[in-house]
Amino acid sequence: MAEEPENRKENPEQIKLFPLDADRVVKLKLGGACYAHVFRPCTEEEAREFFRSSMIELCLGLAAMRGGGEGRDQEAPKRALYAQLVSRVEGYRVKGGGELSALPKWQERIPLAHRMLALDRVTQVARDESDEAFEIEPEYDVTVLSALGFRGLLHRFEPVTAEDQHAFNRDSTKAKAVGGSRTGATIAPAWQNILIRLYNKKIRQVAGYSIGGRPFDSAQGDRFAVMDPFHKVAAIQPLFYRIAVDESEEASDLAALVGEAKRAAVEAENA
Amino acid sequence: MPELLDIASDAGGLRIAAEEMLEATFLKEFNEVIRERTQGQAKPAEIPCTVSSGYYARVRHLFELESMLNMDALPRFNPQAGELSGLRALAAARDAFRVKHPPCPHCGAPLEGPGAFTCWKCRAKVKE
Repeated sequence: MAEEPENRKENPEQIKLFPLDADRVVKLKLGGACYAHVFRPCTEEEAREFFRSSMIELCLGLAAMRGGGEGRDQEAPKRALYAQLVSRVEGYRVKGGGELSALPKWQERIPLAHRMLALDRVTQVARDESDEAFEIEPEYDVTVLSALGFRGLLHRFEPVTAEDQHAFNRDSTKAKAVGGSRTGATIAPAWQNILIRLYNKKIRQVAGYSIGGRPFDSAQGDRFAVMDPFHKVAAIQPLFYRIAVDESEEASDLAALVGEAKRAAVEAENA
Repeated sequence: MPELLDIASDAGGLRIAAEEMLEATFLKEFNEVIRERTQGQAKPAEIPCTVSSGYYARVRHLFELESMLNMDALPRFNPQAGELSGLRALAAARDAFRVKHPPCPHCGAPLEGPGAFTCWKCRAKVKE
């Protein structure tokens, strides 16, 4: 399982590899209690749907609020992703005894704040800015990440070209306007999904990961499809600059458009 | 159900956004100069913003694409649907902006309007 290595500080020479095919464990220490949330790895398709839904909810939510209506449930995609990925939890007691997992829709019985915190932790990936981790490499663009306490997660890319930057700008600005060009809202494509596509095109090597208990090695046939999609986004994002679409616009009663907007977003991403 | 517009292929909306962005760039400097000269007494001209935000983002992409093409930075450029019509919308917006704000014959800055007597920037007389 991918769990924060306890011995990292004491013994920095011992390098622990991030196991891509193992469950991830997040431990929440809250009010003297300790709860563990165990997640299976997220697939690329699940992450794409999450990014797409999150962007649409963000756009429509801001538009609805600007239009004087009620905001939308922007946490819904996170709740859905949590329910998809969590395989078990530990440390929760059920009144009267029994197993939490025996309850119907047991995931929803866990306090929402715990679920959101655990999901944030398991999907959080940062750039590893420590001095020893980064070196300029002549043949590659390199980024180094840290996640779940693992550091030195290295991604080597074929250098980004003007064509790549152009493709990113072109596809990330393929938005839709709903409710008219002047008064409508903008539904922006999920830029993370465009970055995932570019990652799959540009990645050449990774280091610091394992699969099947041995170091990940693309030369031995390991496929980048198993790379965590949140790591993909975090790794390639620093290599591009983004023309941000301000998702806030006036609009009203746009809920009925979610399905259509999702289809449009899929089209834009796959263009 | 409201219409779902594809911003990248809506040349009319892109042209409006491009004109407004050119106008906004002009007004930003114009308002600053006028504010300084009148010691904050003059009311700044309002910066137009009439289309959905996605249009402005797309126009920023098109401006950048145009400059990359001018620099020959995209030798294998293969335009996608909407990019050529988008670039034409930029050209039309520039033409419209030049009509609305012809360049000062002395300093080249866009004049306040086609009937302006002096240049707001260099203060040179442009019309008798």
